[in-house]
Amino acid sequence: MPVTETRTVVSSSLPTAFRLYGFSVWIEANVNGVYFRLYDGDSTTDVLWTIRFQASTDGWNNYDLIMQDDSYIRIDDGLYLELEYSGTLTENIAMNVFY
Amino acid sequence: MRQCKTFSNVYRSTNSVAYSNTVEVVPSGTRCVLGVFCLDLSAYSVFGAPVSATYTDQPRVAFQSMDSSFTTKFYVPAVHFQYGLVPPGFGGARSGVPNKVPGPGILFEDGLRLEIDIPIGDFDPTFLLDRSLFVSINLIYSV
Repeated sequence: MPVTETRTVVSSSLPTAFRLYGFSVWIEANVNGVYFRLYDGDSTTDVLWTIRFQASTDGWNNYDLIMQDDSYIRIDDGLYLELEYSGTLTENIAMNVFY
Repeated sequence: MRQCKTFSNVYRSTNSVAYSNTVEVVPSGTRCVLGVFCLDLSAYSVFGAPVSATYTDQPRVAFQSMDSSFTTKFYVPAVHFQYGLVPPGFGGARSGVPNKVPGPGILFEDGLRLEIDIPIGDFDPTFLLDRSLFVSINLIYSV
């Protein structure tokens, strides 16, 4: 059965409400099909962004999103992340948030 | 500055059934401007891949208006960069980049929907895993 980890705030140093201009993330994965999801808030079911990372043997995946110059995404209830996977995940995440 | 919304979901074929469906993103009667679209393709495992490298075997998404004929504005395939490193599979590392539309974006005057087609993939028979293909769709748009 897939494991869905408890949704956690990306960083306690981020404000609750801010303009999100982009992010970059690196995730260590050693199992196939790790879902990385971002949310505005800890209870909404509306996913802000989803990445399905891939691995067979232990390795790092990276991803980044930089908004266009005139655009931003409004975060009102804090930026949270959630992981879902099957098996036992060796888990390390490095993330930059531009706001 | 332009405040934007996001749309995000993952769609998949199964080991034996292709996925073909439409998803409404913005309802009819609402204008929206698409600024970024990102289609990531991954397989059930890294030993999976589309059945061949031909265009028609790749998952694809049509961006359509919500008008009465669902006019297609453009298609985007979701592709692997290294198909068939060990044939027929082993192309399954996630691939895809956020595509930023230049200028103000693409105007959809009457809603936006996606027509998603994901064929059944293939796998390296040595590992006998699963033929599912997964397409992560992330959009940034303003209304």
